[in-house]
Amino acid sequence: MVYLEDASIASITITLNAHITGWPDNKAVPATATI
Amino acid sequence: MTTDRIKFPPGSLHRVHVGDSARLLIHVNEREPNQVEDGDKDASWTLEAPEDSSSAHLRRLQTCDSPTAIIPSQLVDQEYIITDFTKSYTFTAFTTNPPGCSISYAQRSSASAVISFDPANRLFKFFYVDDLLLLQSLGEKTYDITVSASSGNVKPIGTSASFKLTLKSPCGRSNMVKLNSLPFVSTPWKYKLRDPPQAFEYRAFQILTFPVTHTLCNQITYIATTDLSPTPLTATSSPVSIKELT
Repeated sequence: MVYLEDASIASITITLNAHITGWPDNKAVPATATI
Repeated sequence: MTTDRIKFPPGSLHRVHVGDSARLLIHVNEREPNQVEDGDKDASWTLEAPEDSSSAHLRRLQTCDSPTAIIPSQLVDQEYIITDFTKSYTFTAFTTNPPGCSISYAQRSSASAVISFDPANRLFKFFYVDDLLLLQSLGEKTYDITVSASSGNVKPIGTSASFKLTLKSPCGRSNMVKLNSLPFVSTPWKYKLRDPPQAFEYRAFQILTFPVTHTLCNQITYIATTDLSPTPLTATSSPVSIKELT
């Protein structure tokens, strides 16, 4: 649960990681987006 | 193999080695003046005429017609990553007793689809791009490769030695499989409190493979997290879920 309190705008960062299934070491540079 | 007609001095007795252990005593008829036309103390001889013959045809066996031993060299275990460049391996020649006899080589392995073999040059080449079936769903799988060798025309002998070939998957190697992320579909992405749940959409990542293009590692697992919680977002999480655009 996110409490914004007095702020009208807050942001969180979503990070999307990907790897070849079965090979978690093979990660892409994380893709990020800000909400 | 060469055949020589040997003439012995009249009345002489000769002890001839036949094969590895047998010996033959030849008594030459005195009425035929003979002499030894060819002789080789190191050669082995085999008799082609009866023992009581006045002269004998003797077949001289080249030492390499019946070598006594083949000694394998030390074979070195190999690794090959499927889809990688061709990997070559030349093994050291086996040796024979007596030294220098020609050797014929052959190989056998249950991973033969990966292997090409040039016996004249003792050269193995490993290359495969078609699938990962030889890995049997494992990250790597080791196979035995047996090199058999034979030598000798009259009494051939053989031996064998083996080395291990470990096949590996390219899928976990960042230098062979890279993932490229694509821009998010909608940024900035906004969500107002009390809005209905929304899906955060992303495009499937691109898969780049080296050194050859293939689709052997084409299943991607995505994990989306926020800086608020280590719990990954899922397709059903709320109020924010994730969704892959197809």
